[in-house]
Amino acid sequence: MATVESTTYDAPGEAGSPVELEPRYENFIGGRWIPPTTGEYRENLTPSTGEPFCEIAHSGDQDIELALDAAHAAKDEWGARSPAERAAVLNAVADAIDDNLEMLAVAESYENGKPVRETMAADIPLSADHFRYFAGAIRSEEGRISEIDDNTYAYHFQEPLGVVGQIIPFNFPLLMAAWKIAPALAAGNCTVIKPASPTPWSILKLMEVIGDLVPPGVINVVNGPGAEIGKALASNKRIAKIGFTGETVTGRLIMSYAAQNLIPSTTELGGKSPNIFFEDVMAADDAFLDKAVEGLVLYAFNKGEVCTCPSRALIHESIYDEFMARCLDRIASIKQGNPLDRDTMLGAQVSTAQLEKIEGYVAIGINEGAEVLIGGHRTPMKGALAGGYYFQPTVLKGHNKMRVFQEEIFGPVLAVTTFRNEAEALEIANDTMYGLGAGVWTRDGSRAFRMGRAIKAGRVWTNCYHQYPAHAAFGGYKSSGVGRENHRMMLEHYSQTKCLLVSYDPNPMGFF
Amino acid sequence: MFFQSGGCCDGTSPICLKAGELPVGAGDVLLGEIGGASFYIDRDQYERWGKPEFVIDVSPGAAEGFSLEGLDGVHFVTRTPAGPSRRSG
Repeated sequence: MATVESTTYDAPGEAGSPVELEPRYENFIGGRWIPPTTGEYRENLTPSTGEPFCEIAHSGDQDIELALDAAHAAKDEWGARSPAERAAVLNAVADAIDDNLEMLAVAESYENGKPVRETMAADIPLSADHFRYFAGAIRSEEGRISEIDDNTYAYHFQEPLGVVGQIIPFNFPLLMAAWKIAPALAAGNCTVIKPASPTPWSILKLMEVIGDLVPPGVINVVNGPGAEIGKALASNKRIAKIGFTGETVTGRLIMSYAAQNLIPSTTELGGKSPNIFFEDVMAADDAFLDKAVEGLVLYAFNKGEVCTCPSRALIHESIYDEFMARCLDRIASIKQGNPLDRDTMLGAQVSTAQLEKIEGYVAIGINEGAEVLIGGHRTPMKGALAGGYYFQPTVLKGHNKMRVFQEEIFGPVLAVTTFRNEAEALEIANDTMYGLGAGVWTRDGSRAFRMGRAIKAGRVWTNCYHQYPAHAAFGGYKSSGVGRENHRMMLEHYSQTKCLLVSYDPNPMGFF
Repeated sequence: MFFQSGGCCDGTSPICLKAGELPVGAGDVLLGEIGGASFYIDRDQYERWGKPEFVIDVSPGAAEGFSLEGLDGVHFVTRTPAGPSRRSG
């Protein structure tokens, strides 16, 4: 803290900051910091001011090969460790994350532009818990035995894949790293990770904390341009699986590389998640109604840079005016500002490219006839923040055929429309190429269940939204990807099944 | 070749790839060419977007994904010119 009264953390590298800052960061390969073979670095910006704050390795193909060398050197020993030993490492990682909560939370906020109150309460604690969850999950794994007949048995074991490649997005740099790393390591694999280009740094701060807890080569982090090292990793003959979170074309590209190498892939792609409010949410003016209002406003969580952003609100026509009035009041009270201010509720978009895209979408919406209910512009900021990437929390009213209802904006922009009855709500909800998340708000349990089962999405939050506890499967229907993270079933995506078919019959089969 | 992307982090970006890098599928539409490079979009996505006119521009700021302009400090951007949509419905 700069002063006792201040609610704002000092920026990383400043005297009062919990985060130490080096001028330059190398790759983390084989348990050591290794300069990129290219000898090149690039500036890394903070979205809060748009100013560079450190240099990051600008690696090439050869650095991916070095990381794969290290991972392959480590994989046999790591894969042979008992589940208890692997779990102990994952638990140690979780403890280290907890012990460095404030440091990692401030680093993540500065890196990504998200409010530090979110990283303190969600990103970092969830990351720690994710390692703890998979530490427990791997301890409780059991193979299956099939009794073919009384002399013949099929024993099924889950064995590690070996070395996997993982490409993570910019919206939750540390939490998405945890989602990828924890199941891969639990299942006995080593990994080579490529962070997103706008957010290459906070995971390196994580490696400073956990690097010594994990055997050298088990986790390797290489930064650089996606077109070069992303491809070099995803198409590499020396990976046994590729995991990816990002947009659809790169998702297809990843799956195409995997097809060429005959390896599995998991992809978590985009969404345009409906958030449905039935008329009975306003049956009483109580805590539930308050929760539902917050549920709508959650589109601004993480500045809307969430694949499951509840970016389409469907509201029953009979309550639209009054419910929306309450929501707009709540949206108007969102405090936007320096992400490192603990009172800030809405921070900065991750990059100037994203900011421009959001602005473009609002213009497209207006051109298509959408009505701007609130916001709609960049947020002018003062002082050092003037160069940051701030956009007002925005609501557009229109209909589901508009582009702003069909395409993921990845910003604090909500598209809202009304429906007349349950059937129409369902039709609108499913009228999208995506199927990642959805929300249903009603006091009627039967209706909640019907809707939840009928919506074509991998996760339907019912009377809640944006909760991401470990042990709740997360993944897409339709064009939103393949695979289920955040649950022990991800262990199956990071292992392969060995069947030992054993005969205890002393007699020959009799063919020859 | 260009592929118009959708969803998540770089969703609205036209992704620039080496020719043939991504196999074109039966569900893709060839919208035109840019300097001899084909420009594709998923048909369902194109229709859901209302078959808009696209203008492909270059803008400051590094590309964020697998697109070939990489980290040169600029990125391709898909713009839709203002004017009436060609949407029928």
